[in-house]
Amino acid sequence: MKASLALSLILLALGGFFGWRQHERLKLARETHHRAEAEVRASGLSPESLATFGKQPFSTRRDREDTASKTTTAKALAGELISWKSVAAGSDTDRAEELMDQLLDLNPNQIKTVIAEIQASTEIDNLARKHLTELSLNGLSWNHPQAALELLIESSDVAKMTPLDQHIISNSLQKWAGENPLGALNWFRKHGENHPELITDRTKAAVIAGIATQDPKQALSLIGEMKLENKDTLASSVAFAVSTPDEYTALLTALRDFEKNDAEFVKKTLGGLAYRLAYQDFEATKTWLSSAKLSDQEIRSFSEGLSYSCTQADTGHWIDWLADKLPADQFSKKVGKSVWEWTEADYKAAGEWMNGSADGPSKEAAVWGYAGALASHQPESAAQWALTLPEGKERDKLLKGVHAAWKKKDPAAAAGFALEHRLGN
Amino acid sequence: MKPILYLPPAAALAAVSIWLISQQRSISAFEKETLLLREHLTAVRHAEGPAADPSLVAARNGNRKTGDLDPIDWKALAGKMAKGGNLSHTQRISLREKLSAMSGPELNAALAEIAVLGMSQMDRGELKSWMLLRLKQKAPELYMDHCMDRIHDSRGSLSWEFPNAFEQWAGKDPAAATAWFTRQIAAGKFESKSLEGKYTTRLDFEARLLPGLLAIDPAAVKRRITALPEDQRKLLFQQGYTRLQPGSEKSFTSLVREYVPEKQQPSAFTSAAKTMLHQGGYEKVGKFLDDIEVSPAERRTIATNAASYQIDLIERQGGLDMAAVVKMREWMTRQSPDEMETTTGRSLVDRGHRSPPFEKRLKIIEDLHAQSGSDELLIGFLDGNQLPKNREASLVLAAKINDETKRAKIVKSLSR
Repeated sequence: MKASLALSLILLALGGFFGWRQHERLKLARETHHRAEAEVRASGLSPESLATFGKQPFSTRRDREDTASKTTTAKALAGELISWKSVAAGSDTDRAEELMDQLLDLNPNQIKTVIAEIQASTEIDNLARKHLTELSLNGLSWNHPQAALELLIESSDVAKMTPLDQHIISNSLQKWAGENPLGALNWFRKHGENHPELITDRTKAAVIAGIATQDPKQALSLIGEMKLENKDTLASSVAFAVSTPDEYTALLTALRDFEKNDAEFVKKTLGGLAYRLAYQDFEATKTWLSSAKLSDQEIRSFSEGLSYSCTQADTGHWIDWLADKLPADQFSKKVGKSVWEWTEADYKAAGEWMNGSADGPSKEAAVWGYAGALASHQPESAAQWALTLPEGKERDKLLKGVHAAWKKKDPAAAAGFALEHRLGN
Repeated sequence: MKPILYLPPAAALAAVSIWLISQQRSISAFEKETLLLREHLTAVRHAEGPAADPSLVAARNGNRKTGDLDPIDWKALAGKMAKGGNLSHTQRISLREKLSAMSGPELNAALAEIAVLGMSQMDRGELKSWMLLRLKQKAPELYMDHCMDRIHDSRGSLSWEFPNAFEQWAGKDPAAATAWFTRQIAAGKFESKSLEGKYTTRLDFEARLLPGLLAIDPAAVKRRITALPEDQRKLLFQQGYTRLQPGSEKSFTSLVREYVPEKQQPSAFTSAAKTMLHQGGYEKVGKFLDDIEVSPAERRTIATNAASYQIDLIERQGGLDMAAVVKMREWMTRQSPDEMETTTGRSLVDRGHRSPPFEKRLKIIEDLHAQSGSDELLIGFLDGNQLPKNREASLVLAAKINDETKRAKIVKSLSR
């Protein structure tokens, strides 16, 4: 009897384990469903009437419109594309932009017509035909990503994808996943079986990043299943996919839950988010950051993504923001490097900020970068800035650096400076 | 064993199975319904949905005169977008049609209006890109003025769209573009900000202005070059925007001969030749080289670089095949026959990330070698083919090199 009870307990324990895991999936599926229902209601529709009867999506008024005139429009645009490509191989980039803009207005059937016309044209060679087909699909991918993917798979040899084809696939997958996560995911899984070439880190990142705009928690839950070789692209794709304060917050919440699964990925994504936010209006970003209440560890990860290349004219603002948030050594290194690059690119703006900022740790850290960058060009000024640091090893090290640069420019003046400050030769 | 002993495990198994199956069914049902809801939602968003903005729908049916279209209510539009209401495809078309019907000043005013409205960066960015495209086409000067405050910001797409737009404008209306640029320089907008004193942004714009201005006033181009610091004049020819207009080739050559150090002159001519490949292929470049009377050494450098560039372009577009290679060889035979085989070999090197795969490249080389028997062809190809996956086949090919010393050198490099 004991063995029987023990076996029962083992079965119940195993069932409990798998049940618990499935319960998490069920919870996620339920949440995703609720969100979809809410969106449908927000569009003035009834989810019950749509989902219960399993109807296919509506046929639209557009579908019923005069297809003949749409076909004429598509053929006319195909003609313009062909003539643009056949005159000087399409080197008129201004005209190219106009044509691409017009492609955005076409529906999938019209793009099919455009492609058929391009394929049938005898005015252009195979290379031009291929290029125009790609451009047409690229135009389609912006508004009809699913249709673009289907057409691309139909019309191209997946094994011979060009860089533009690969871009269209990733762009379409990301856009579609942002509109319909499950639809895009199912398509990706289904076609990945027949076309393993489609399954790359880049396409996986596109699907996950697209889903992250709708449901970051679900997106992150796919990372394990997708088995990416390198998650760096994924981290930046996810960080750059979100675009509103609500989306930043949702992503941050999901990242906090995901920390236990992959702390390194969370760190990189926070860095990517910093890079993305630094492009935007600083005050608006600051407002969001204060609502986000980043932990010390999160601020350290976030600050990894900040550099002069993304902060540019806002470099001073970001230094002020970081001032009381990072450990002293990390803060000094970050500020020194940023100010060095800022000074090299725009020494007047950097100088104005230096002159206007109050004495303290921020300014001391910045002096390192400012004087260091100035040293090769304006050593005297660099020396004056270096002397504003408190006496000690750090100041001596900087003074020696300035002296070395000064020596190359004006050996006599440098010698006088060395003598005055006992720097040796 | 008594049957009763089977009861507890059987009951446990049944309970667990029922629980797991019911969970799985619920998950499938939720996923299926969610998918269906999303598909409906996507269909609604891409169609002329019930929430369509009447003014936008009306715009679609009217003609393109501004007066006949209702003005765009930017506040209402921003409000709709802020609430997560994506525009349907039809609404987007209508909005773009309305924008197309607006004049330059109207577009400029609309840009100012949306700049202060509450909407996401992405929505604003999309609207802005539509407006800027039309403003650039209708009123390039207003477009340039609008972008000037971002002139030194290298972040975002405007950092390259703005200089490109200036280049297009300068090609079409060099006098107006020159006048605008000169005014901005006088106002100090293109002053160097770097410690080195390099006029990075100004040089970029000067280089983009040069082809258009050269076609109408070569003397003005010279005046502009001499207004630059002496050490930066040659840099103008290294920017890579030498899309010369027909008839300017000789004026361009004079400038290169005057302002570019002798050693760097072939590089400046190569830059012009590369843009000509986009305009008129090998023939155009060949005519250019004949017209400007380059030395044999210069011709060799320019032709070799231009041929490699053209093959690279074809490779990027997925069209590299025997026909493209034969065309290049025919042209190289006319331009610089001594370099033809090496250039062919080098241009077919497999760098591992582009089509065609190594096997197809190898086949082209083998077929060509069967005709020419050239060592240079094989060396050019094998010297760059250092990918481990190609090593075995490369060594087989290397055995066909006739010159013993050269063969040993290649085999050694492949065996590293």
